[in-house]
Amino acid sequence: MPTPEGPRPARVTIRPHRSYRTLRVSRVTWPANAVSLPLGMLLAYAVLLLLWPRATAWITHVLAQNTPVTQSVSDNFLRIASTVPVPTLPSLSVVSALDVAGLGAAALVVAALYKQKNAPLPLWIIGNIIVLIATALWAFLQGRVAYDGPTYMLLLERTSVIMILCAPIFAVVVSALLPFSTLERTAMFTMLIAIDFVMSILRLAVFALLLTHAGVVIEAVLYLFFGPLIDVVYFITAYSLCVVSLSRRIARTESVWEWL
Amino acid sequence: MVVALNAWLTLVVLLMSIYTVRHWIFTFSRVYGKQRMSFSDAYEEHPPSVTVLVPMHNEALVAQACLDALLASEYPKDCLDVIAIDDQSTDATNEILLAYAERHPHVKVLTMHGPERGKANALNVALESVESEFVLVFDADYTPGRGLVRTLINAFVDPEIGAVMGRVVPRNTNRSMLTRLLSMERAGGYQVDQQARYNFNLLPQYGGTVGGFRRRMLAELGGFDQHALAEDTELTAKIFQHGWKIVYDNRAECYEEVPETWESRFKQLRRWSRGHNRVLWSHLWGLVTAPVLTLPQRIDAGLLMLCYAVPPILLSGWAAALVLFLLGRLPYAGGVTLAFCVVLYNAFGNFAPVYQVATAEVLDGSTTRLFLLPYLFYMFPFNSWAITTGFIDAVGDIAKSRRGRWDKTARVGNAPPT
Repeated sequence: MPTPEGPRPARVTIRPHRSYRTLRVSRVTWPANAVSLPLGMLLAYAVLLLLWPRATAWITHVLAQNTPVTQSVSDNFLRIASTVPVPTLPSLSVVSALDVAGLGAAALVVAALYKQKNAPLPLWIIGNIIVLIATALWAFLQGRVAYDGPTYMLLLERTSVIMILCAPIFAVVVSALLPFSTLERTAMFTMLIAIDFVMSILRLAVFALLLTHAGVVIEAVLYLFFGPLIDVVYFITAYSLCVVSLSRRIARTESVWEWL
Repeated sequence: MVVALNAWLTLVVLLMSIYTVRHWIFTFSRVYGKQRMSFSDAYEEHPPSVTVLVPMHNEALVAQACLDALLASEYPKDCLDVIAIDDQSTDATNEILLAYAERHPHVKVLTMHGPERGKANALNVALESVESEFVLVFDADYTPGRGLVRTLINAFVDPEIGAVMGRVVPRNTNRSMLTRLLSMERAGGYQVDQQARYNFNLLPQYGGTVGGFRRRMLAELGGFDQHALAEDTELTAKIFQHGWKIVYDNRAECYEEVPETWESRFKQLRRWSRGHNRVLWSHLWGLVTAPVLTLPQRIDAGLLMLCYAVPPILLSGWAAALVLFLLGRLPYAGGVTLAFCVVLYNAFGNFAPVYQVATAEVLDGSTTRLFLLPYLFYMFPFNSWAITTGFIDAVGDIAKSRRGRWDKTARVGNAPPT
């Protein structure tokens, strides 16, 4: 027991149990949330207006110089100009469609026999194979698939534009739930837009190249499994970086934890 | 056909949107709202008599840790009985339990024989010999803390409370990527979801372990359905339909062993889905029309019951998107983009959207683990397919009036934290 003359007791920090912790809302949190959405969308739109035409034109030029993807198509979606690379699709033959379907079916049989198939990666691959078989059979029965090269690439390009414009909506929805600082919030918006922008441009090139070599039977797989679905993974990657920063900050300053 | 497919896709998106909004509101409530506490501060000088039931089937790897934890409980020993139920084990479980019963007079062993096997049946049989009014249930892989029995029992000071549920926290989190991801899922499900449902006076769920109930209430409700694979969900549905209440106590943490292999997790999830969807079939209408429930409670009941039907619905939306794509009629500008976004919001983790998981981890004080958030995407095809297969099993069960088979979750038997 320390006496009045003795050493002072060490400072005691009482931390509330995690069960009922809440977070303190800063006075700027709600106004920041309110202005984030229009500002973020404006930022995304401005980036698209300024950089998307140049970036798409650049990647189309790079492909034309170095790969068999030499054609392109112009678009002006939501007043955002673009030059989209267009693959020269190999002609679809009945034999090739059946080959793909048969190989896919064989792969499915192998997958079914694989003991460890009930795991994420095997299931992801099986999903891809099923879509591949469906597309090949469709191509065999119909003699064609619905999207030719230019239409498919425009579908992809426009989807990418929408996803980039949607990035701020995602950011606002998730950031409203935690007391991000202005810096963290700005970083999240910037990263979301930047990562999705860069990856979308790369995706245009990769898809054009893959389609040039593999043909229309992989169109659906690419779009449904590696299209907008993957954009959301980029979003969450950027979000997770900001949440880690927020969490570390909170861990250092326990005063932000609220008692009930 | 195109119109029908687009309509179906829109409906799927709408359903996902409803879940998205629901979980967003839950998360908001948990972070910034007023938290409704359990009865932790209640203290009775003469604590009531309690019986703890621990159903076990081939639990030799974990039985000892569970019983040691229960024996270390601070609850007065003269008020605490432990009944370890050996449900036809073929390993050393029975020998372990008998050895404990020999050394500790308040540990009893019930050895099950006969054609029926399964947790619900084991609990029903054990309850025939229980005299206490209050019964707690722990699965064998759980290690309750010293004060947990008292914390849970405190809830019953309110005579309207029929059951209590505590928080499940994995103890083998750092074993693998799977266990880490499951730990994050659990955090989202309990720290945010269950607490928020309790905050809003909706339907917190009795989870079948780390919880308990009044024996009188269970008798009134006709006991457990002995063929149920999700006896916990079935009891939850019956409790609310009959006007009883469930308390969720976020402070009542108990430590469990989550599956460490994908195969084991797949079987567990498939069994949950099968059991839950059978309860959906038998209790959905009763819950959403229950006169004792308020409108928000009925809506929550519907969404809670439907949660294991969402992945198959979602996969059907995906199939619709594929057909639309093949027809060249995929609505690029809105529908599909929104569909995919919403799909991901709701399919990350076990029905816990990514923002809910992140928020739960922040509240828990996690830092570095949050880097794993994008890896929850890894779980998306896995969870979707495991739950869909369980859904298909349940449809088959209902169509053929057959009983579900109890697939036991494989244990590893890691040492509990000291």
